Amino acid sequence: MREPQFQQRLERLGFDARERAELADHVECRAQQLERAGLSRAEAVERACAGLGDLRQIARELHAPRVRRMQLQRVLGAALVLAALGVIPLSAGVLGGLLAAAPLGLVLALVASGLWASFGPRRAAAAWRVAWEGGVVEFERARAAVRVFERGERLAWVAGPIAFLVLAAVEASRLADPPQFYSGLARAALALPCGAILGAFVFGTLATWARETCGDRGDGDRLALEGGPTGPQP
Amino acid sequence: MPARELIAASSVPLVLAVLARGESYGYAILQGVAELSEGRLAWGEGMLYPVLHRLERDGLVDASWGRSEVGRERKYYRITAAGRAALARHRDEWLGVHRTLERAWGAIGAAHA
Repeated sequence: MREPQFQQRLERLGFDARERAELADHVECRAQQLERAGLSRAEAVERACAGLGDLRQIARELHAPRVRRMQLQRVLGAALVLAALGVIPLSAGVLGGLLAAAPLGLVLALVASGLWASFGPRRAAAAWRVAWEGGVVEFERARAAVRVFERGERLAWVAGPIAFLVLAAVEASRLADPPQFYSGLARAALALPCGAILGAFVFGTLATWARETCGDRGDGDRLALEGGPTGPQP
Repeated sequence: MPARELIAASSVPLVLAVLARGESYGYAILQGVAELSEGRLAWGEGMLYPVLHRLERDGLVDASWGRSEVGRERKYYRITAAGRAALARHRDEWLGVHRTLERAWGAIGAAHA
């Protein structure tokens, strides 16, 4: 990779000007050392760029806090939407509100019971604690959290349609009263977006976060994985 | 070559130890680590920077921009008081592990003798 290509690639990967300057300085230092060892300028730059390793991985690592903030915002946003789906209809009266909250409640109950059955209360709660604490997390705890959140994601996607079917079946008893039946069916249909939002935005985001945290047990781990000599020898 | 986990665990104290010797920049820090480890710890060069940036975020190192000897922009890092305290903690922990292992291996040696 030549210098301009290297800079372009850094730009494409979202490195800001300061980060690009820092990495360019690193490449230049290394290239000069390789030139002193007898390599041509072009070869030296190419090897120096390659020596940095996987730029995509470096970008991910450097920007991880930014990504985590965005993920947290997504989770909070989804939680607000879910809360709104459940709470706003309370204006229609307590009973109406409870009925409208039923889709969300049922989806949550299905997911919670699924997680309970799969992992038990302690392991499921531990995953939430990991997400709550944030920051650098022990590898094993983060990996356990990944399993819980991935299962939660799958469960939420399935729980939406199941809750819809259950609630629709309950509403079927009001078939004789079509306006009541259709409004009940519309309420039951809220279970579908509830499941999707819970799956994609809450559990999906948390699973992604925990997966990234798994790789965060110490950057030195990747330092070793990336390989490449660091000594003065070319 | 030490196991990856060991290299991972030692990355922060090593970077802090290099910076405790004086202000430095990315490439020179890598050379410092290579020199200290006598080439035994192979780090992927680029992944030093996430470590440095994390230490900066955590307030363990300070950074400022300057110029290299040929006028190129360069980011210099220096250890902070919090960084020195963290380094001291790391040192105690690693020495504790080292002494424990030494005693354990000494006991095994004595048992075999």
